[in-house]
Formats: sequence, structure tokens, C-alpha cells
Amino acid sequence: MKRFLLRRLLLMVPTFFGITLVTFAFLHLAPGDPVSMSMGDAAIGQGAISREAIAHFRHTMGLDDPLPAQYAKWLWRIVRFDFGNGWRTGQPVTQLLAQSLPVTLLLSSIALFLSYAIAIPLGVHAAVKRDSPAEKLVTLLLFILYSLPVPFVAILIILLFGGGHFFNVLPIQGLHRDGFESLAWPARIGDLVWHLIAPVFCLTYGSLASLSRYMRGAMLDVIRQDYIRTARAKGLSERAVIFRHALRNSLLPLVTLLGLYLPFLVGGSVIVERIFGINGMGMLAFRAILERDYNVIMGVTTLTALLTMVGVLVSDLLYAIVDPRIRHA
Amino acid sequence: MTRISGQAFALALFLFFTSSVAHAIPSGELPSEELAGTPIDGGTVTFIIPTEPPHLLALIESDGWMKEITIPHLYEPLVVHDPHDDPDYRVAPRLAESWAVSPDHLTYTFKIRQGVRWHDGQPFSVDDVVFTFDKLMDPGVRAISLRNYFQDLAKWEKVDATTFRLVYKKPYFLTLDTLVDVPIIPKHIFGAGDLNTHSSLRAPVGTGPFKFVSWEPGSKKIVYARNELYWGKKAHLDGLVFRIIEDRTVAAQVMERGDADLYTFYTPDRWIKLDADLRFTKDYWPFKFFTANYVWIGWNEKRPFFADARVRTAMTLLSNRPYFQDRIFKHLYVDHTCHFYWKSKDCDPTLAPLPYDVARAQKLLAQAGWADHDGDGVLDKDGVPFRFTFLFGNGSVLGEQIGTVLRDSLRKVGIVMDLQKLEWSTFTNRLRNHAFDASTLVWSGAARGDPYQVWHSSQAADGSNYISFNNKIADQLIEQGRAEFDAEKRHGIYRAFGKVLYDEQPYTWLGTRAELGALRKRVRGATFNLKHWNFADWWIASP
Repeated sequence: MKRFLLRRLLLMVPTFFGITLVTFAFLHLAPGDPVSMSMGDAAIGQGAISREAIAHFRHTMGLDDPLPAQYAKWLWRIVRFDFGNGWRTGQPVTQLLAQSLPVTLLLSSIALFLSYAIAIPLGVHAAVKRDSPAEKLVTLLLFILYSLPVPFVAILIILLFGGGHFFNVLPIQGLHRDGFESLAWPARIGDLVWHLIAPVFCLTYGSLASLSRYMRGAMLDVIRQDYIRTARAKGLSERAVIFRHALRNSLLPLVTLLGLYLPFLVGGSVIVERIFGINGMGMLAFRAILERDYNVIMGVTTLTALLTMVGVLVSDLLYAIVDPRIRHA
Repeated sequence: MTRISGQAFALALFLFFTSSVAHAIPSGELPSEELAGTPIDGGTVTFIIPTEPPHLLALIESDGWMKEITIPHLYEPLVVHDPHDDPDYRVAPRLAESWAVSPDHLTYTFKIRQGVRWHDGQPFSVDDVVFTFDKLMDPGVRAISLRNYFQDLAKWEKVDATTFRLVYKKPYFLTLDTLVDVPIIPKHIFGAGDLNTHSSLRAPVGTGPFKFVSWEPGSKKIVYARNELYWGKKAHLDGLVFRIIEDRTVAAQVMERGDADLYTFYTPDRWIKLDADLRFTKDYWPFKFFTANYVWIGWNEKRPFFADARVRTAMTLLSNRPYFQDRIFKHLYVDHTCHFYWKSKDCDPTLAPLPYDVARAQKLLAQAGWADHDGDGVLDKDGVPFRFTFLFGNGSVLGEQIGTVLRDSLRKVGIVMDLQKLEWSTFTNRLRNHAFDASTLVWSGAARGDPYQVWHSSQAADGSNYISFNNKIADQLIEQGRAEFDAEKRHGIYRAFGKVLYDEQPYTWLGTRAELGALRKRVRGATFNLKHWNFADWWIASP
């Protein structure tokens, strides 16, 4: 187990450099740079912007160095945990990340937890009661949800439940109401939950279909196995057969999937954040890419890469716990 | 399979929510009562803005909205454009009490207002003004676009405790106008540390009628309060709240909920329906206003087709503007064929847009030598078929709509136009490098503008003359205009310049588009022209 862990940890180093190198390369392949992009309309409307000024900033930012040298400089700064300042807002990148990451983690971890908490029982139910009308109905509903694009659903929720012409039951912007700070703790939590309902729903519903189908497939594979027949033959109750014997083995694919969902956990969702007015990692990264704000993009990538790799490691460890064969391989 | 069912469901819901009733186009005028009555103090106005400002100091590279909400409400410049002086927007004193201009128009001497205090109570002085110009002119300060207007500034200096002087290398008629965009900043706050990354960028201390209260990290709300120490007439409102909502549907919904007092970024489709929404119009006035903008299609004169003014005129005659107005602009555009603000005296109102006239266009094309010589259904001249590409940036819904209609009109007379949509920065790169045949864009400007960067032949190299317009008379008139300090005479020069453009048709002018908003009826005293918000004059009528 120790060697397994050590090997995995060492593998993270080249992976990390690979990710940053690819991001860095793509970033510089895109047209424009922070200096020209931040001038936005001015750069189109007033074309006489002096070349000297642009050259000055490109020079102070090291943008006129050869790319390998830029990358090396960037790496050297990262090793010292110096992410620099965002070009657009002038704020330290670490501060921007510290503001956005908790918001995104809160939203997506709840969404991820709910997806699994709902999809696993649904999948088990679908496998055990396969071909029953109830199962078909649930599958149909899940596929309908799966087919609905998030921007559409988010706007629909806002139009239907956010006041105006229909029901006024949900807040539609942000994560707090005005005067949140003056509320007592229980009221604060209540307010937060109330604000989270719509965005969390939007982040959750789409993954239910695929997750529950994976669960159903895995469960079907397992319950056809000999040892399940043996368990049934021993006279165990169906409940015990499914939940005690079959469930644990059928969870393996879902643990793998968990690893795949991790980038989303820290990456956030541009659409949901934009529509519900939440400043998370998605909007931070999206805006930084539009603005070619290199420091912010590289900061977001580094953090996302690191957290994702830690997450994948955890999911591998979980894997090893669920399936002892992995440890010895 | 599942995708289709999803779309069908979406369509059904969409049909359910959109009524098929045809809506009359509302006039969009604010009633006179909005400006009537005696102002009372108190109350807060919540204003939804569509983009999140990077920070709140417009000296540093900013965006349009940030400038609108900070100058001159938080930070004040030396002079302002009088917001009530539409369409001239003459320059009025602010932190400068008065000024004198030398006869050669090179030296501007300002009397600096006395007794002004910063929001933190510190006294304001001429040293702050000098400090501001030190920073503005410092090549290390990220004020590139703003500094560009001050390339000819030779010297800025304190003359005595109440006098400040600017000395320029060249006379320029817009010198005072450029000062309107320079917020005077406090030396005692920004004197220490790097201005580009200063922590006070997000927590400003100014001299304006409103002071900054809060902008919590991650929150989409910027809060101002009345500045009780203000040197001039104090604001009526207790406070102002700017809520940042990027999505236009969501913003409209927040207005529907009654959570905000003002929004000025409605989509035409949504705005047109507001008038019929009786529940909404009980509390809100939908209104429209016009900034100094115009939508144009530019014809690259370096291309064989568009070098000839007759061909360009034919292109304008083939642009089906009545159809554009009906289907795309929804009659929310005003006719405009001039480079300047549509109400400006620099424009000649008798130059009406050319009509949609296919027969006349065909005649002009034939005169220019374009005919279908080889019988393939496409016009040609000297063996070159009339086939070109119409370029527009992604995100330009208008470009796509106009392009599609234009393509069909041109096809009927034997011209093939292909549409090409590009990522925005790639698109602007192509414009700058003149690597396009035809394109469309919106120019936005101010009440007074200098046509030099867009129209002077020298600006084809480095400026915004992307279509390589080159006309000796136009060049002369542009240069004359820059050196003319008498507004009346300049109007004459610019009208003559406008006539040259009208005859040459380097652009097809499609009009000035309206900004579409709604204002809560209890808000009074607001005027909407050119986005010169006059927040300090706004007040709340008793409910």
C-alpha cells in the first residue's frame, strides 16, 4: 500500500508539468494578449494607441521573451508560490482564487453528493425491477432531464419560480440575501440553502441519467454472477443479497466516475454561475480566458490541476478499499 | 433520439411562454412628470449594470460601464460635460473653478476649487491634480488608452496653491474634452505603492457627490452613499446600489420582481413587450435613449470591387433598410448617415439615407463595368467575378442577421456574398490588418468627436481606417476641423466632410441604435442622453 501511494504521488509530478505546459502552449496560440485584450473596444475604436505603450507593458510582463523562457520563468515563480496579479483587476491571483474556490466547492460538492445519493438507489432500483413500468417511467424522466440544456432549465426556473408573472418562491441571484451578516446562524444556513436550491438543481439533474444507468448496468452484471446465486440459494433475503453482497462490487465503476467528475468539482460551471450571479471558479476562468489574463488562467489551471490530481488519488485509494485486487496488482 | 425529445419539449415550453400577440413599437419617451416636481432627499436607487467592473478607478484601463458609474459621481475630473446640455454637451467646471486658454491654444491655466475635501475628510489641493497627471503620464501605469489622448501634453505643473497649468505641444480642439475622462485621485491614498495593483482600486476615495460604501469580494453589488461633505449641491439620494447581472433575461426578471429601479440593457424583443405588460408598467416606465453610435457596413476599398464609389453606392442601394427596420432593428434605430452623434450640429440632417433601389443599383454596377460577361449568373469585370466575403465577429447577432438578408438581395443581381463568422479577437485582427472584403461593426463615440482616426488616409496604416478610405478633400477637411476652435465654423467643416462621405459611400450607414431601458416611476430627475447619468440630481418621489 505504501509503495502504491508513493508511486502515485511521484506520478503526479510529470502530470502536473504536462498540464501546465499544455495550458501555457494553448494560451499563447490564441490571438491577443492581456495588454491588447484589456483595451477592448479602445483597441478597435482608437487605433492610434501608441505602440510604445503596448510594447512597454509587453516588455515588463515578459511577453516578448521566447515562449520557453516565459514558461521557465513562470515555473520558477510557481515553485515560490508567486502567482502574480491579475492584469484586469490588479488583485493578487491567490486572492481571486481564495474568493472563488470556496463558492465553487460548496456548490459542486453538494451537487456531486446529491447526484450520487439519488443515482445509486435509482440505479439499483432500475436493475432489480428491470423492465417494470415504474422503471421505464423513471428512465424516461431521467432521459428527458438529461436532454434539457442547463441554460434553458436555469432560465426556466428563474422565469417560473423567481417572481414576475408566475411563482415567487426562489431567490434568483447570488448566495445570500441583503443583510445576511446580521442574521443568526440558523437563519443564515436557511437562507443559504434557499439560495442554493436552484443552482444545485441545475448542476445535479443532468448527471442523474448517466450515473444511474452506470449503476444499473454494473448491478445487472453483478447479480448475474455465481456468488449472488449462491447467496440466494443460502436463503438470504433479496434485500440482503442486493445490499450486502451485490452493491459493494457494483459500485466500482461509480468510483471510477467520481474521479472523472473531480475537475468539475473545482472547475465550476460558467453557465450556472453567470445566470445565478455567483462568482465562482467557472466565471473566474471564463473571464480570464476572454481577457487573456495569463496570470489568472495559469493560477486557475495550477489549482485545478493540483486539486484534481489529489482527487484522483483519493478516488484510486477508494478504489483500492472497495476492491482489494487493485492493491496487489 | 433523446436530443430530439428534449428539443421538442423545450419548444413546447417556449411556445407556452411566448405570446404570439404582435406588439406595437412603444414610443419610449419618458413622461414630463419624470422631470417635474420639487426634489426631496432620501431613498436609494438600484441600478442593474451588465458587466462586472475590473475595479473602480477609471484612470487605470477600464471599461465603459465602470467609467459611467464612477466619473463624476465618485471621482471628479477638472471639467465635465454638462449633462443637461444635449446635444452640445459643453464643458463645464468641476474641480477646476475656471480656466483660461492662451491665444495659441497651447497653455491651459486652471483655477482649482478651494475648500474641497476627499471622502475621508482630508483636504483636496492642487498637489492631488499634479499627482494625478504624474500617474497618468507615467509609462509604468496601466493607463494606455487614456494616456493616448495626452501624447501632445508637454508639461503639467502647479503654478501656485490654487493654480494648475497644462502645456501642450500642439493645439487641439478636443483638449478640454479629454480632461473629462481623467478622474482626479488622492495623493495621500495612492502616493504609496503600485497604482496598477493598489488595494484602493476597489475601495475608492474621491471628491464626488457620492462616496464608496462597499463592494464585498465575490458579491455582485457596489454600494454608494451620499457624500455629506460635498463641496457643491449635495445629492438627493441617500445611496446608490449597482447590481451586476450579466444575463439579460435574468436582469429583466429582477426588474419584474421589483428588485431594481433601473435597467438600460434590454434586448429589443423583451423591451417591446414591456409596454403591454400592465403589471410591470404600473410601476415602471419603459424608455429608450440614444448614445453616439452608428452601425455600419464597411467596404474595403483595396478590393477590386469596392474601389469604385459607384459600386459602393450600389451596395448601399441594395441594402434593404426598410426590411432591416421591420425585422431586425424593430424600428428602434434612427436614420443616420453621419460620423458624429446623430443630434450633433456636426451632422447635416438633410442627407437622408439612400433608398432600397435595385434598379438604380444595377444601373450603377453596369456603369462601373460590372456585367455578366461569361453568362454564369455572376457579375464580372476584367475576368474577376463579383464574389466576396462578409466578415463579422462571433457575438454579433446583428452581423449574422444583416449578412443573411444582404446575401439574398445581392444574389438577385448576380453578386455572390459569403458569410464568415470569426472569434472576436481574430476578427478584430483581420480588420486591423485590412484582411477582409466587407464587414460590419458599431462605432461608439462622444458628443464631440474627431474623425481623424477613422477617416484620415494616414490612419489606414495604424489607425481605425480599416477600409483604407483615401480622399484628399476629406483629409483636408479633417485637418481643418482639428485646428478649428470655433464650434460654429467647425460644424460647417464637418458638414462638408459629411457630404464627401455621403457621396463616396465608404460605409453603408445603417443608423443609430437605441438603448432600451425601464425606470421605476418613483425615480425622478433622471435624464438619459449619451449615458451622462446625472445621479446627483436624481430623487425619489414620495410613494
